[in-house]
Amino acid sequence: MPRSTRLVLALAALLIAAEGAAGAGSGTFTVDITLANPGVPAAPATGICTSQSLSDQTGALVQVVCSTGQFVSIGPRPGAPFAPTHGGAFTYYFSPSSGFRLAGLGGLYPGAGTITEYRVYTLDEYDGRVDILVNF
Amino acid sequence: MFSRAKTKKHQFKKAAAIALALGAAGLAGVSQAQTASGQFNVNITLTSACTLSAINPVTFAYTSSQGGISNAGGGDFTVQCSNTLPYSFGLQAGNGAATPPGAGSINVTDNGVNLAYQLTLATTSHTADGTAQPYTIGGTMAANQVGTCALASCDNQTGATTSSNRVNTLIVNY
Repeated sequence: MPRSTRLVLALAALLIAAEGAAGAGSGTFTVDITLANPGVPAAPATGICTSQSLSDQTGALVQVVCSTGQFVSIGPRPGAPFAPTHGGAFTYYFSPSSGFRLAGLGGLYPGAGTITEYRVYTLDEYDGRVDILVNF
Repeated sequence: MFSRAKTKKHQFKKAAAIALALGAAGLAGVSQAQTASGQFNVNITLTSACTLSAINPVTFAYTSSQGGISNAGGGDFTVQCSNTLPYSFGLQAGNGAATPPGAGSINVTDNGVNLAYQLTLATTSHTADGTAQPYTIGGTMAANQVGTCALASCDNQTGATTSSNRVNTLIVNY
């Protein structure tokens, strides 16, 4: 190949390279990953709850307020009737470290289960006084 | 006396004749005006450019030790360039200063959930037609990775498994 031809080709290659480097822009993006761990059961939310002191009133409506997360959950069992008065079957959950215990229904322990009626008292007042009576 | 009046009348007629002659000359000048024209150029310099839209996050949903690969979702974006301008794409791990041209694919291990993935571009070059063209950043995550997660579910955006390298860069070269 003649020297002049090689020179022309080299210049053409430079021009093409220059065109390719005309400009560039960029943007960033995130890669969001969710990893499921099937061997670990989902932990319920925990928190601190307080209640209004109306248990001595007939027909009182007691409101339980949880400042962080969920301490007590009461809901209908799938397929079971849910009634706001006697006769329903309900699920419950008490955090093991909550400082509360169930009374009046032997054999119940903190954790998940099914219940129709229970009483809750604090360990600090172990004189039998009922703090909350919940029935349905 | 008669002679003086006659002389004034003669002078008046002469002045009127001159005025009429000048007016006629002026009218003749208007009707006989010439026109001239010239052409001029409109010189335009167009600096070609490309506009890259916001890029939707690339998302993976992975189960620890799962048997099959996981394909990513999201990663959509559009590019609009000057008509007929050729351009190309490249990927770059991290969010540092872009170093063109980037790569067609990158491999990253998320340092939050400790899962490795690969990002790819199905289309790496194109010639613009002046409209916004849609593209997608693809991603795959290999099977049988355990990852890092002390809970039932973790993500790389919150909590103990928050990642510091989940941001990557797309480069458009033109």
